[in-house]
Amino acid sequence: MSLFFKLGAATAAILCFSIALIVLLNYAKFETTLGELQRSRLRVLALDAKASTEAAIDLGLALPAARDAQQILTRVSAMDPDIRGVVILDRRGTVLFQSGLHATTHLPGSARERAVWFEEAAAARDGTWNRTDSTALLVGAPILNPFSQPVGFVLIAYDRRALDARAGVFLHTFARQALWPLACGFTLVCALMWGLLKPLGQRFQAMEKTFRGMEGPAHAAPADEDVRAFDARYQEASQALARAEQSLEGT
Amino acid sequence: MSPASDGGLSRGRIWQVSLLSTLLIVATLVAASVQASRLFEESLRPDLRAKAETLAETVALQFHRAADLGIPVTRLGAADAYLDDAAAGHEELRYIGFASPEGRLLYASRELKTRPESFFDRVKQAHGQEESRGLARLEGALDLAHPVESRGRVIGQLHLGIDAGYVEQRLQEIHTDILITLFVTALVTIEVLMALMGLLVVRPLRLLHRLLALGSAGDFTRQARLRLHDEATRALAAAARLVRVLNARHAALTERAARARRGGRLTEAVEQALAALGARFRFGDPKAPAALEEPETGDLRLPLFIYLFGSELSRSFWPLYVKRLYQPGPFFSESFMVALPMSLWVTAMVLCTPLGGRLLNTRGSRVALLAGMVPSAFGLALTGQSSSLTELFLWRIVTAGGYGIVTATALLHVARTSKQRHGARSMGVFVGASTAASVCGTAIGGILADRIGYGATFGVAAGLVCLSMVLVGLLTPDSGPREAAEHRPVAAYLGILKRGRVLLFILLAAMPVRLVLTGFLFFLTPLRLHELGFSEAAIGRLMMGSFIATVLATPVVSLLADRYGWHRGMMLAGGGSSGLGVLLFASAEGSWPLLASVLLVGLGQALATTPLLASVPPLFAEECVGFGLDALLSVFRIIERVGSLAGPLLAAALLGASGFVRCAHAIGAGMLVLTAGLAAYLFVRSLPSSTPSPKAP
Repeated sequence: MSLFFKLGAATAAILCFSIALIVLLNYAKFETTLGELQRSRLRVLALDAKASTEAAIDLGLALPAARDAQQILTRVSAMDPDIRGVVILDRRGTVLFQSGLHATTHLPGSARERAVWFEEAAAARDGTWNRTDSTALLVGAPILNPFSQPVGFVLIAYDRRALDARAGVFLHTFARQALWPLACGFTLVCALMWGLLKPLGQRFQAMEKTFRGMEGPAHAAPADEDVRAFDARYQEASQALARAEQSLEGT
Repeated sequence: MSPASDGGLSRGRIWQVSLLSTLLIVATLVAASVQASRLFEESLRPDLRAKAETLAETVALQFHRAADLGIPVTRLGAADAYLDDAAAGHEELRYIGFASPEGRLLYASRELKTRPESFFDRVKQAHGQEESRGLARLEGALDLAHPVESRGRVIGQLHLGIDAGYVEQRLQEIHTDILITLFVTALVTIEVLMALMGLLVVRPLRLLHRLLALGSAGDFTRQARLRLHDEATRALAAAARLVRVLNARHAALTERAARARRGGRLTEAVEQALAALGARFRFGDPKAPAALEEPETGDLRLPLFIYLFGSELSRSFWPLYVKRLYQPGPFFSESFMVALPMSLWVTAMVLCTPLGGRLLNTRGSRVALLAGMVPSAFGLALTGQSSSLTELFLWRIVTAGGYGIVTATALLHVARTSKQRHGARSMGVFVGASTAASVCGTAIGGILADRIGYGATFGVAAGLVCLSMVLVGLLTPDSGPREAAEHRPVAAYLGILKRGRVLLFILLAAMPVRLVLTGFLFFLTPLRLHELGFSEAAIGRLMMGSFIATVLATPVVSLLADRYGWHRGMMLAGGGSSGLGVLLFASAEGSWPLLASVLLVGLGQALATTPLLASVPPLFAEECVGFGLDALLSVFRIIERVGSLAGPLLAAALLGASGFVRCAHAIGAGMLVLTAGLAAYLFVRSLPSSTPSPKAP
C-alpha cells in the first residue's frame, strides 16, 4: 500500500464519518422539531375538545352523561387521518367515550397507567400533558367541572409511524443530497493527497533505487552527502569483509 | 533527497497535508449543511401550515357557533381577549385577526393591534399575489387566511400570522451544533493526519537517518523492524538489507574462522585481518539484531487523543446522568450523591496511578496502556447501562482506575522518551492530546447525549476507547520492561509537608484552582445550566468555551510569564478571574453572561496553573536543594488532586445547605479571599527575611 492510499483512506474515512455525523444531527433535530410541532398541533385539538366537553357539562351534568362528547371526539378525530383515536377517560383511567376504530384496542397503557396520566395532567401547569412511546404520540388535557375540579381527561393518540415516516423521508432525501458534496469532497481529497504525497512517494522510491544500486559492485556515487558517506563506509566494510574472506580461504 | 535535511521538508508537508485536507473536509461539510438547511425549511413548512390551519379551524368554530346562535359577528363582546388566549402558547404564531367578508379587521390579538392600520391593508394586498392558496408572505411572517362559514355563507376570515423566523430559529440551533461539529472535525482531522504523517513519513525518515549515521560511523549492528509497507518503509528496507547482508557475511566469516581456529588452520595474518575488521566496524547478529527504533513520544499521540476523547464525552452531562439515577434515601442528599462519583473518580485514579508505572516497568508500554484501556472500555459501556447508583459508582471506579493507569503510563512514556531534547515539546504531546480531547469530547458528548441519549453516548465513548486499543496494538512500539525508577522516600514528602510555608502556598495557590475546576465547572455548571433550561448540547457548548479559553490562553500566559517574569502576578490574576467568573455565573441567566463567566473561569485556570510550577523553584530554593524538585512537585500534584477530590463534595455540601446562588457566591467569594491571602503571602515572602528558616535535610 502506498502513502497516498493510506493517508487518502484515513482522510476519506474522516470525511465520511463527519458527513454521517452531520446527517445524523440534522435528522435528529428534524425529528425533534417535527415532534414538537405535531405535539403543539395536537395540543390545540386537545384543548378544543376539552373546552367543548367542559361546555357540555357546564350545566352540572356528570361527565358520563355529556351528550355531545361523542360528537366532539368524532370531529377532532376527523381532523387528521393519522390520529389513531381520541378518548375521554375518567379519573380511574376507564374509557367513557371514544372515537376511532382502534381507540380502545390500541390505546396505550393500562387503566392504572392512564389513571396516573390523569393525575399528571391534572397537575400540569400549562393545562396539557404529553408523552411519547414507541407507537404513539399522546397528548391530553384535563376536563374540569364548573367548580374547576378535574373530572376527566381527553386523550389524543397520534400514530407515531406517520412521524417516523416523515423523518425517514427527510433522512433519505438528505442522505441522497449529501452524496454530492461527499463525492466532490472525496474526489478533491484524493486529488490533494495525490498531489502532495505522490512526489514524496517518488522521492522515497528514488532512495530505494539508490540503496538497491549500492548492492552491486559498480554504481554511481549517490548525490546526497549522507547517503554518499554511508555508501563509502558500506563499500569499505564490504571490501574489508571480502579481503578477510579471501585470506581465510587461502588458509 | 537527504534524509538528514528532510525533517524540515516533511514538517512542511505534514502541515500542508493536514491543513489542506482539513479545509477541504470543512468545505464539504459546509456544503452539506447548506443543503440540510434548505431541506429542513422545505420539509417543515407544510407542518407549520397544518398547525396554523388546525388552530384556525378551532378558532373559526367559536365564530361559527356564535353565528349559528344568531349573534352577528360584528357584536362579539370578548372576541379580542379570546384571540389573545388562542394565540398565546404557540411560539410560531405572531397574531390572529378576524376580518369581515368585506376585509375590515374586526377583532385582533394584542400583537396585531399594536401594528399600524396600514399593516392589514398590506396583508390584503399580499393575498392578491399569494404564493400558495390562502398563504401570503409579509414582513417576516406568513399570513394564513382561513374563511369562516355559517349556514353556507362566508361570515368572515381569520388571519393567522406564522413566524417565518420559527424555522430559522430551529435551524440556528442546529447550525450551532454543526459549527461545533465542524470545529471538532477540524481538530480531529489535524490530530489524526499529523499523527499518521508522523508515523508514515517522519518516523521512517528518522530511522533512515539513524541507520545512515550509524553506518557512516561503521556501526552495522542495528536493524529496523518494519511492519507497515509503503514507499517510505520500502526505502528503509532497502537500506536495511545492505546492513543485513553485511551482518550475514560477517557471521559466516566468524563461523568459518572459528572452525579454522578449532582445526588449528588459522594463520596470524587472518587473525590480524579479522581483528582489524572488528576494530574498524561493528557488526550485529543477523538472527537477532538490535532494534534501530527507539520509543518516541509521537507514537502515543493518536491513541491517547482517541482514548481521552472517549473518556471526556460524558464531561458535560455527567452530573445530570447521575441525578437521573438518584433515588431519595434516608442518609445522603441528592447533591452529595451526584458529587460523590466525581470524587470517587479522582480517588480511584490516584490509587491506580502507581500501577501504571509498575506495569510500564515490568511489561512495557503497550501492555500497560492496554491494561488501563480494557477496564476503561468496560467501565464506560457498563456506566451507560447502569440502573442504580451502586452500579454506576462501581463502573465509574473501574473506568477511573483504567484512566489512572493510561494517563500515568502515557506521562511516564513521554518523560522517558523526551529525556535528552525537546522536553517541553514532548510533554506538549500529552497536554495537546488531552486539551484537544477535552474540547472535542465535551462539545460532541453534549450534542450526542441530546440527540441519541446518555446510554448510547457512553456506548460511543466505549467504542472510541476500543478504537484507541486497536491503535495502540498497531502503532505503539513496545518499550519493553525496564529497571524500576529509584523509589522516592516518603520521608521527603513528609518533610515537605511539615514546612508550613510550602503547605500554605499549596493551599492558597494550587488547591483553590482545582476546587473551582471540579467543584464549580464540572459539578455545579451542568446542574445549573440544566436547571435554567439548557439542553445537553447547549451545556456542552458553554463548557467547551471554558476549555477553549484555557487552551488559547495557556501559551500566551506561559510566554508572557517567562518573558517578563510575571509568574506571581499571573497567579493572582488567575485566582481573581476564577472568583469573578463564579460570582458572575451565580447571577447570570442569559447565554452571553453565562458564556462570559465560564470564559473567565477558563482564563483563570490558564492564568493560575500555567506559571504555578515555574514559580516553585525560585520561591522554595532551599526545599528544592534539600528534598529535590521532583519530590516538591510530587507533593504539589498530590495536594492538587486532594483539591480535585474535595471540590465536588464541598460544592455539593454548599448546594444542599444553601441552594445554587449562595453556593456559587461562597465558592466565588472564597476564591477571591484565598487569592487575597495568596497576595499577602507573596508580599510577605518578597520582604527581606530577618530570621533564618529551619534547614532542609
